[in-house]
Amino acid sequence: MRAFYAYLLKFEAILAGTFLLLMVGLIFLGGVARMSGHPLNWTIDFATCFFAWACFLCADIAWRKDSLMSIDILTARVPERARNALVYINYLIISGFLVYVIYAGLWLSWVSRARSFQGIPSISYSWVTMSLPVGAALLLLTTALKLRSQMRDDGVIGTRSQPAS
Amino acid sequence: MLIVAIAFVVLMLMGMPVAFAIAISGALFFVQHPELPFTIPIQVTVSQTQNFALLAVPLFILAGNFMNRSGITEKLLELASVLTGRMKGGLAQVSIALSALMGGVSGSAIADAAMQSRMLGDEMVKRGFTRGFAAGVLSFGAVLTPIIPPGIGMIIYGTIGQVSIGRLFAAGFLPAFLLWAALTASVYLTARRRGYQPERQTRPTASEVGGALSAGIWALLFPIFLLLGLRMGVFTPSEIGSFAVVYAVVIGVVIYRKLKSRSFLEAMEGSLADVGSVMFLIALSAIFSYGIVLERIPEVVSGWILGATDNLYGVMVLVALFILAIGFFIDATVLIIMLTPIFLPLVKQLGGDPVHFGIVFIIAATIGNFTPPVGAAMYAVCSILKCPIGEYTRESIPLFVAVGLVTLLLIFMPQVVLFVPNLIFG
Repeated sequence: MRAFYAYLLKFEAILAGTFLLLMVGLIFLGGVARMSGHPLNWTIDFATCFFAWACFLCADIAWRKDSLMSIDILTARVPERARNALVYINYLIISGFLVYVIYAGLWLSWVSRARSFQGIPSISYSWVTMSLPVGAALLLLTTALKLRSQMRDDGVIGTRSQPAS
Repeated sequence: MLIVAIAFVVLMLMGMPVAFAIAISGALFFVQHPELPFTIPIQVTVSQTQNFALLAVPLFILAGNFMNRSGITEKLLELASVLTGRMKGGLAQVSIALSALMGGVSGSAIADAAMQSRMLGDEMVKRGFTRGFAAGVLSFGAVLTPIIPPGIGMIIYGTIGQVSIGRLFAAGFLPAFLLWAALTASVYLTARRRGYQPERQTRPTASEVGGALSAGIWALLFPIFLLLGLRMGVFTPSEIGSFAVVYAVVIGVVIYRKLKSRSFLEAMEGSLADVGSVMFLIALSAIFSYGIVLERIPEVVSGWILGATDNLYGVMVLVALFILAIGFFIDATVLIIMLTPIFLPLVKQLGGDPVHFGIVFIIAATIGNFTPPVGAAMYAVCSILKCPIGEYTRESIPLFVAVGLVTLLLIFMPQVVLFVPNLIFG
């Protein structure tokens, strides 16, 4: 399980990085092509498709590294018990929201599967829409793991090496 | 919409990441309006990422991270030290000059402040600067970064407000110069009072200046290339962004030879988290904006402000003070995303110039990065320098005043802001 997760993380980072570099390449190519009088419209379409995927994969990476911006003006000043309680409430609300995003996102991808992608008629727009529910699923997994590690820190559940008695 | 606004504040105070707080409070609007399809939040979030202009944001983040590892920073530090080392206040002056030079490479004030603190922080304390003063200078100097092209804030403002990003880029130069002069003067006054010594005793020779200039030339030319590309009109900001990435990699690999496969991967890894934190916020903010537009909030807010004054300058001062006040609590990027659609129409309605307003807006919003209680750049600098926030706050008041005065001056002198863009773009 742990090995699978490590593999997943690596895959996510490689995929996100590849998408970003592909965007650079495609847009660069598009610019050069237009300048030399042979405009390529599909470069922009593919680049924006990759952009959607890169955004939400990177969002998960940022969430895991705790680099999403937040404000601790109040939380830094309340007693530890209250602070911990707030952390749990936050994780639960976020999880609820992500469940909605996964459900609504999958539903939207399914019903709009006939809509084709702007410049590339043979490709369904659902390929773009899917980036959000997939990203949300990864974010949900990350949130669940954060919740678990917080519970371990608080001694609510035992760690693997030290089973709760 | 009131419930949405309250929920946003409550969730944020609970310490929830701002991106989630915006999305979840924005989603409440749809709970209140069950007649709206429940998939709209998904649609608007995804369509944010289909905005070709916003593609420039991750590209300039990538370019900045590659530049930072290309070896260019050290060259610019040398140049800054040759140019300003003889001024009273020594390393503090060097730090502010370095911010100005780095502004043309990186687009984020927070990244600039953090990086400079690591490079110069300990040295400054060793030279006898108080921790608070050193931290204040390192932090406030970074106000220059977002308004010297390329600036992520300018791209976001330009995209949301339909304002020419080329003109915005060009408009940053003179205000940046004024800000630099004001900060330098402020540092000089403090240095004279406290007897902080210059960094170097002798006047730099012409060959020293020439050497340092030519070593840093690739970084200095970068913003000029950007402007030229946009001016010729052949390139969109996103295309310029992709060229910027290629330029940064080529310089790092071929010219300075500092960018090896390891530092390349480090830059990529850092970029993933940076792109994620900025773009996730921008994408999710669409959920919130949907309700704002539907409920005509911009008109309502305009009504309030116009009730107080309908003088363009009066309105801009009010708006700038409002942004500054909210900026004490909310990050600059969030402010630009959320408030541009509300205030820009008002300023335009009164005949204000969107480029002029944009520069004032971005500076006013950026100041919040350097002030307590919630300044991201302040936290970065103070934690690296181990400086208590109280001491930082006391010592940085003169710098705050300097930046505030320049902002006020810029409001009343649109011609200063618009001089360069009018010159270049006509």
